[in-house]
Amino acid sequence: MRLAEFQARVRGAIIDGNVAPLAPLLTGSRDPRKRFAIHQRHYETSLVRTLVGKFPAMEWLAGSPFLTAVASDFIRQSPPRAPCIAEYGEDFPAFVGSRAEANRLPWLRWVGELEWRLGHASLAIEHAPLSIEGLAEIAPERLAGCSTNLQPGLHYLAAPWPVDELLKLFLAGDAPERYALDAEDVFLELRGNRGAFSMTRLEAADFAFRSALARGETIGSAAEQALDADPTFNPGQALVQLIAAGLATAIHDSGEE
Amino acid sequence: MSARHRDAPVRAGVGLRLPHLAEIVATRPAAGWFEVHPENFLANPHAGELLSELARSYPISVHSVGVSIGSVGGIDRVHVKRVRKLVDAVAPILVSGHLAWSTHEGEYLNDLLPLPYNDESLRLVVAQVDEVQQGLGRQYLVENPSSYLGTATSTMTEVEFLAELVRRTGCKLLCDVSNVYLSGHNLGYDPQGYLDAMPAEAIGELHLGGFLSEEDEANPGQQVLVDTHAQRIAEPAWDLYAYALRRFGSKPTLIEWDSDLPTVATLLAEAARADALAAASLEPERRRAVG
Repeated sequence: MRLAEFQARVRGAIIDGNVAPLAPLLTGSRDPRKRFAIHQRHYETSLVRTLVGKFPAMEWLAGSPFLTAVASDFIRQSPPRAPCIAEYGEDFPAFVGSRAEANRLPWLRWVGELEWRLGHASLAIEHAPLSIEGLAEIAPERLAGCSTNLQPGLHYLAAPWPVDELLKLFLAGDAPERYALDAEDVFLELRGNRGAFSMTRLEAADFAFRSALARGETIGSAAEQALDADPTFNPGQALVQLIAAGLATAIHDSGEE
Repeated sequence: MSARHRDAPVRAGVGLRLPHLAEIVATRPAAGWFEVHPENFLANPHAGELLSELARSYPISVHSVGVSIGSVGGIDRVHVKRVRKLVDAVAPILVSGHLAWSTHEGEYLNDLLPLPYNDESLRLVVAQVDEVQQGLGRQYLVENPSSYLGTATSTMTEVEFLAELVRRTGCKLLCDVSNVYLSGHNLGYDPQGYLDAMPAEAIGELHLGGFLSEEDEANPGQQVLVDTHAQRIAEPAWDLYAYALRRFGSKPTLIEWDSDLPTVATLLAEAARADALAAASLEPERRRAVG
């Protein structure tokens, strides 16, 4: 038995629960399959606990038994791909939203999307912001072809439900007995730095502009997307506001020789 | 290899886990040194910044749980590069990992899984420890695992495997005394005999961690010990630690507690107990040297 085959069988026993092909290769007790259950249990409990712990508002809203059951399925369908488990779970909110049981809570996925981004935003460290003088070094006719670096703790989320309100209720810990939530498009800017974070609602055009910059697109491309959302959008003013708020850290003239 | 790191203090240190980080930065407790899992800091720039600050005042040991030196698909080179960046930032006294494997075809199985001990796995682990040492630019310490099972394809004992790994790679060993006790109990071998067979000159660090005793479904009526790092160190492990001290001499010793974390004060009290035991165990030797 080669090592590759042994490890493939261990993987099958942990992820798929298929211990039978592995059992003849194990020694160390009267029933090694039952001993191997310690490894199976560790995979299940450690990852489920970690995943559920990353989404406390989803757990609060949907209940621990539901979220734990969905997490248990998720870790088998989408095992981690890297050892930093803090980076695992980005797709979990969408997975929760795809479950039939979540149909009665159509906003739940979006609460998770918001929690994931806030969790990462708050771990970031802000860099020195770009100054207005730094912006002035770029010739105005070249600005459209430039791209910007934004603060590492900035994240953008467009959601079809006002999930920022739900999260505020969760964080405040004083939720009312009943709460009416109506579908509404919200455009959120999440900013984190050294353990703290803030949430701001943006207009659709500002959101289109800033989120395009965050994806690394040029100022010209970001402005076009903002103008599609609102023909009265003023790109120059929006750029100055972005810099005045300390959100940009650098500007790059990609066409510069 | 780089010699920028500091020498390891011969006393006990404690694990630095994220829930304690802010308190430790604020209160600067009298700890001998701190051990970190790089995987907790690589994805957390804020924590990494605080760790760099602490590294100016305390010796730091880096103990990876994700390098996977036993994976037949190779080590995770991207991960080793990330660990190297942290190592360069905090100049640790020691860098260590496990004799185990965790990845399979790109999936990370989040556990330290058992290896068969035979020529094929030895060749693989030797090559991969060499690669890790090259990638980190320094000597690596390999820890003996906590075991619940053996494998039918093993042709040598674990301690023979480790000794040969040391001989071929020049790596050092991290002897987890609790793992030796636990594995000896679970697999039916003599823990003191295991320590006797370890190459004493290669031991660079000791670990002590808590484990849980539970009903062994594989052997009805008996108990199996499960490595949890979630409670105080058991008395038999302390006794074996005293034996290890007599065998290896005093070594940097980690109090390993990763889940259901106690207060920092509790961790430091366990470390003080390890230091006191080390002092008492080595006192007759000191007297002989003086007298």
